[in-house]
Amino acid sequence: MTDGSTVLTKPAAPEPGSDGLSGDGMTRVHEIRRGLRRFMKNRLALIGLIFTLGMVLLAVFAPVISPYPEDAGLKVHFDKQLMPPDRDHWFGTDEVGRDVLSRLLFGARISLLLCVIVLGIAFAIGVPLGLCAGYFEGAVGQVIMRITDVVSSIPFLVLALAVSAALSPSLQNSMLAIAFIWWRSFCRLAYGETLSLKQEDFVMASRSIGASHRHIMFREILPNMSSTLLVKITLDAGYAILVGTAVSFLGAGASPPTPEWGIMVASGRHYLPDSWWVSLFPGLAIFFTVLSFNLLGDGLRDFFHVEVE
Amino acid sequence: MSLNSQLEVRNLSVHFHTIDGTLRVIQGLNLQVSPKEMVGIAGETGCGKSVTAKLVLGILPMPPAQVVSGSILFSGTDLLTLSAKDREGVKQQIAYIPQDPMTSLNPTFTIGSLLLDAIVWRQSGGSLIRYFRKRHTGREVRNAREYAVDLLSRVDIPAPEQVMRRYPIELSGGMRQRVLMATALIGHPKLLVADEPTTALDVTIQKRTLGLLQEKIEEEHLAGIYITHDLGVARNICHRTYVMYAGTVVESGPTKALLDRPFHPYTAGLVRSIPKLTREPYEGIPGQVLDYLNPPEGCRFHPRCSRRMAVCRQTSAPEYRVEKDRWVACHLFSEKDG
Amino acid sequence: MLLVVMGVSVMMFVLVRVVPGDPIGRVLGPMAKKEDIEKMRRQMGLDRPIPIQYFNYVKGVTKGTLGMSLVEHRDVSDIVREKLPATLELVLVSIFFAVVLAIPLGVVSALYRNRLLDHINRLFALFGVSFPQFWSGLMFQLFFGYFLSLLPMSGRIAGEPPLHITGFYLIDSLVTLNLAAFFDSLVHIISPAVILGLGALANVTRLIRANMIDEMSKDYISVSRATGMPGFIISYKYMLRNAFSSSLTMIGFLIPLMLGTAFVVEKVFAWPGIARFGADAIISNDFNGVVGVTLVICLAFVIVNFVIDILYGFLDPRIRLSR
Repeated sequence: MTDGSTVLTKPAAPEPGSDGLSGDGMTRVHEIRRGLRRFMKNRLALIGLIFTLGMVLLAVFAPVISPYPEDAGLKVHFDKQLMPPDRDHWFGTDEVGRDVLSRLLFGARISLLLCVIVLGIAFAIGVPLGLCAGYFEGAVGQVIMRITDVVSSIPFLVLALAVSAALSPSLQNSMLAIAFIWWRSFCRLAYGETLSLKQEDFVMASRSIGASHRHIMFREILPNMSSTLLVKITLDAGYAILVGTAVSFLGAGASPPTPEWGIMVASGRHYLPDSWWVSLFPGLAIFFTVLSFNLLGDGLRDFFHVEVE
Repeated sequence: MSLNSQLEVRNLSVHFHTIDGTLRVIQGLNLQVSPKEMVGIAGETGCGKSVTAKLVLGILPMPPAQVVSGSILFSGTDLLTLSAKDREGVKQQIAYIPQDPMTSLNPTFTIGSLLLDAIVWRQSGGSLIRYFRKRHTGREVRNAREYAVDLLSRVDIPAPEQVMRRYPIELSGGMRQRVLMATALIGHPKLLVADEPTTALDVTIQKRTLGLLQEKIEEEHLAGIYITHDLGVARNICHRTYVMYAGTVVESGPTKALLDRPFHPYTAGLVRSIPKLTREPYEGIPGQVLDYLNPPEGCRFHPRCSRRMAVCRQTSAPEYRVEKDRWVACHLFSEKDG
Repeated sequence: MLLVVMGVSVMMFVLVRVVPGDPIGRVLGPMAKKEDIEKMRRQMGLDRPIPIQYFNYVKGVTKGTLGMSLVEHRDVSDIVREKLPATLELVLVSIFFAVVLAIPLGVVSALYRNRLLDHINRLFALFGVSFPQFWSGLMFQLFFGYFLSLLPMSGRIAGEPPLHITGFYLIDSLVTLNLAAFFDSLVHIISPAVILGLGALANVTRLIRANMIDEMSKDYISVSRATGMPGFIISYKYMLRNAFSSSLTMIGFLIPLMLGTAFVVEKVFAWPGIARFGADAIISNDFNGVVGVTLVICLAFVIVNFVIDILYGFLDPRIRLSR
């Protein structure tokens, strides 16, 4: 992507001994270097990467860096209820006197765990299904895709709510519920990619030398959709957090005293507008995390020149 | 250079800025076209002929591209120094016949719609307000429609009123090409730039289209530039031809003479590489296409030239006039410069 | 497509019935006697095997009933009829707002791409999709409703609703020339529509931008440029029409997506729509409520797809003529 404001760059000095003729095209190293240069130019993507890594670090080290780690659990401090942000409690305290900041940090662990579980399961179920559907087509493919269609025609949130509620609301169940429905878009994506990659020459070459179906699917086709999948995982991570916290907000997910961002916003709602900090900061945390994933995903999308839904 | 020229390109150099560096695409290009003459620009893919055409037409995207030096004189005015608005005005006098008729017409508009837009715009003197008014006045639209139908019939399109109502997808490749020619003729242009317009068509349609082109050049006193990689076509319809290699003109002159007795080693190689039924093994030109990032010092062709000399490695050759109307950019002819 | 609707209905039907725990018990309260619970179960047909229940349900649908709701104690079809227009109105206004704003934003972004305006736009778009709607809804409510007192905090209308013709307050009030009701409902729909539409706005802008950029490199655009057509016409007439029709399918998919987000937005703004009812139904395991709402959402999806298909053919002659 050429930046319109690129100034005249100094033409590369010809290497000694070169007669100006290029070799037979770019080498792999050259391509990677080129891609990296593009990524670096995309400052937003870099910011996304830094922020995302920052969030992960914060979550991982939450028990160590929270000022009041015990507030993440059952500890209550009725003497410190609803205190505005100050030097001791940077983000204030909630309705039972717990430090909002500490709870946010532990909430990060929950949300990131959600991402890992949801995306892990969705990937593990959806991608092989989509691969098979796309590769074998025929009756098998049709059946798989029809089922996917049925599941796809309901918005994520609705289905997540329904399944979670059906399983009796709890944090784990909401995570499982979301994981249970998330596979559909991975399946769709894998299906589409497989269909188009199937036509490529390397597949036919492999087949002609007698490679097994499994080899072709998992050793040839799958690696070629890895960039698309990577972008999808990154962008979906953000979206999964949005859905997860929404489910909890509506009451079908985590329940107090779990320091989950969604219910923190929900319980803080009762104390608006006076104790605005109780709802504000968890929401900001969600926003910030999702934004980081989106920035990173966007940057990766540019980097790989990929079109993902 | 003659005073009668419609278009004169002088010492043009163009660079492309990409993420990998700067591509020195055009280097010291000179050419000239007069009214009623069809001039060919021949060369391999990637030699810069399309870039030159796009620059003349004003459709070369100007970040990435940058004109480093030179001028393009059209009716005496340097196009490169014009303001954006003036440049758009000049575009109406330069007609374009694109290469691929299948992708050159907007698929979601009818032929009539596209033609009317162009015709009414030309009558609006650069004012959008006047354009919108005219475009929706019954009388203006009717006149424009008559003109459009007339144009279509002049390029041998049957049942023009019906064609006006059609979408591009409903027309064949040959028809679409003729519609494009009709569009090109709106408003009596002075220069016609045809970018390999027959490559996408089959041979019989090709012949017809070429014939039509020649007719129009004659009738309308147009100056024409025909870009091609096919020397046979050049021979057919171009009075004079410029042979381009790696962004510069290596040889120019009357087409038949040029092809019968090529002077520049590259031209000779091109002519030799045309497969003929009578000759045995046909030869290509050894070597590979130029790397525009790191072009060689001196003559850009010297790495592939079988007749290169020491001086070729150091300086590129200016255009030496070898015969009355033949120029060659090759050190082999430095003494013959007359 | 009808198959999909059926599939969904079966799925939801079964789902709500394999629930661990006893929703009937919950509804009747902890004081309920065992016989009353049993009576209610029999009344609702819950003692029959599931396929028979489903059969009876479908029979009921053909007769126009969607079963009894545990939450509101009336027929779900009545509830749908009453609340659906509210949600539809909200979603349609949101999409309208999103698309109408997205077109100029997307076009300008594409024309000035990689320049400051574009970067700012893209940044805003990224921001827009990163907000948790329940939270941004709350903040919006707080800021505009409470602190600035510019917009109402919740609800659909403060005064008397206009005469019921379509169920869409905005249309009904205009048609009956009830200007007071019109402005009242307008002012109430702004907040939820903005929050609901924000994510869509970001997506559609990016979509239009991408499609416009695709158009820029098309041959027929350079031909028009070479012919001397002015930039304005090329961008807004030639490029936009193609870019927009390519975006239509995605825009169509936004509607079901929004129906999902509506669950949260309706709750925050106390919007009396079917999504809010749906959320309550799901939480209380209101069998018929859940199945009914899902059915409706599904149907909406199918209808939207159908309409998009037709619109698509209208805008792109290639599709129309190849049919």
